[in-house]
Amino acid sequence: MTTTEDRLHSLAQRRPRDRFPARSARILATGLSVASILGLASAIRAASLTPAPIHTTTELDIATNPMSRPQSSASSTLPESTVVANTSRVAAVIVDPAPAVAAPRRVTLETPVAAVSEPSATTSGSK
Amino acid sequence: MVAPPSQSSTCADSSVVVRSTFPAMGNTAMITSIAHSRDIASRALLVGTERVQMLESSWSRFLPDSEVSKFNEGRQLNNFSADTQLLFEHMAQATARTGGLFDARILPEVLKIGYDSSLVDARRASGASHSLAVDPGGIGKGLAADLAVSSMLEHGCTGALVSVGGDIRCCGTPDRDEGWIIELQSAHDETIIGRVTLDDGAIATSGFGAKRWACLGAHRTHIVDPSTHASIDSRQREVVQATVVASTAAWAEVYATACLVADMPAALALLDRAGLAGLLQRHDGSTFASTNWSRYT
Repeated sequence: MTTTEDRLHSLAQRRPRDRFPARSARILATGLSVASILGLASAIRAASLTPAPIHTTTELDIATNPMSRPQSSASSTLPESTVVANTSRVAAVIVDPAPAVAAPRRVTLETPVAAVSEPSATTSGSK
Repeated sequence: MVAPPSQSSTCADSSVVVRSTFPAMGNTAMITSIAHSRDIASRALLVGTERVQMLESSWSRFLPDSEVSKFNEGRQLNNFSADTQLLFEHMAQATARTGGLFDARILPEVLKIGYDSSLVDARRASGASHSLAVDPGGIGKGLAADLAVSSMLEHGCTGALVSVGGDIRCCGTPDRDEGWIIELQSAHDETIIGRVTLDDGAIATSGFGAKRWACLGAHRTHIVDPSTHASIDSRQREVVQATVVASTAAWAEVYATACLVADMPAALALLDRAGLAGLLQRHDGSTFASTNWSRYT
């Protein structure tokens, strides 16, 4: 071997990582994998522990938002109360307990609308 | 044959749900409209509301200008709207299918027993040019719910539920993943005695609980036995409330009323023959279900 080759060989022997490059690469890859898994798990846990908003309130002005109330002819009467829900299972609701009036009024948007156990309707013989 | 409704297996997708309650036909009506946009859901809700109100104006025997009141005064049926003619067709079929257990031609009897807090004059009814005088009562509520749901779906909503005094018709996308969930109230109090899940169908309850009064020393109810033309004394009956699941609210109401008139064994046989499901409540509060009832619970 040449002097240069000897020097390179001796340098390589003094650097353990370079003595077993394949093993070093495996260790490095394993370490990175473990770290990424741990990081991902932490992120998921953090996300799942974050409480979902259970009640938000938004006010809609019916007078300026024609979509917030049924539109029809002038003779039409609105029902006593109107509930609107934007949902993928019922995520939001507009509760309008006021009787039908022509004057502008505000309604409250609440989230979520109802417990899952609440029925769609009730039937009874009281009629 | 009255087809039973299908059971629920669909889930509610992302939709807008609009509900309203309003007085109708002497009771409270409740309408739920579901669509992919609030505009469509609201428009369908209004269509359903107006449909129920319009049918009330045509069918109420408490309104002197209604078509039913005019019929009871002797006016001929062929002068009336298609909706009213459909109502009369239903009433005729109901009497035939239930073997006379349901019969709307009992208005004179209803008036005689004291259920006359209306604008209808019994003397006018009995002196009509034709001999018929009808009380659409429950079947009118049920048919109104059916027609309102149909109109709402025609106006673009993907799901609709209409309840008129507890006669309920639901169809299409339900307001929750499990389906349309209907709770049954006891005849005695507000206790919930049952719960059914429907996808496309109807349910109605008939009972003695709400309308009972004393008349000439007897306890009267608004249910008249067509075979005797006498008010049924609820204290002498085993069944005090009947709930029936059927394809339409009109038929559910017809069979629920027929079950009350028939009483327990005949009622269960009637439901089985029609392929319908029912839950009967006894005087002591206990319940007895028909063969098919478990399909909807």
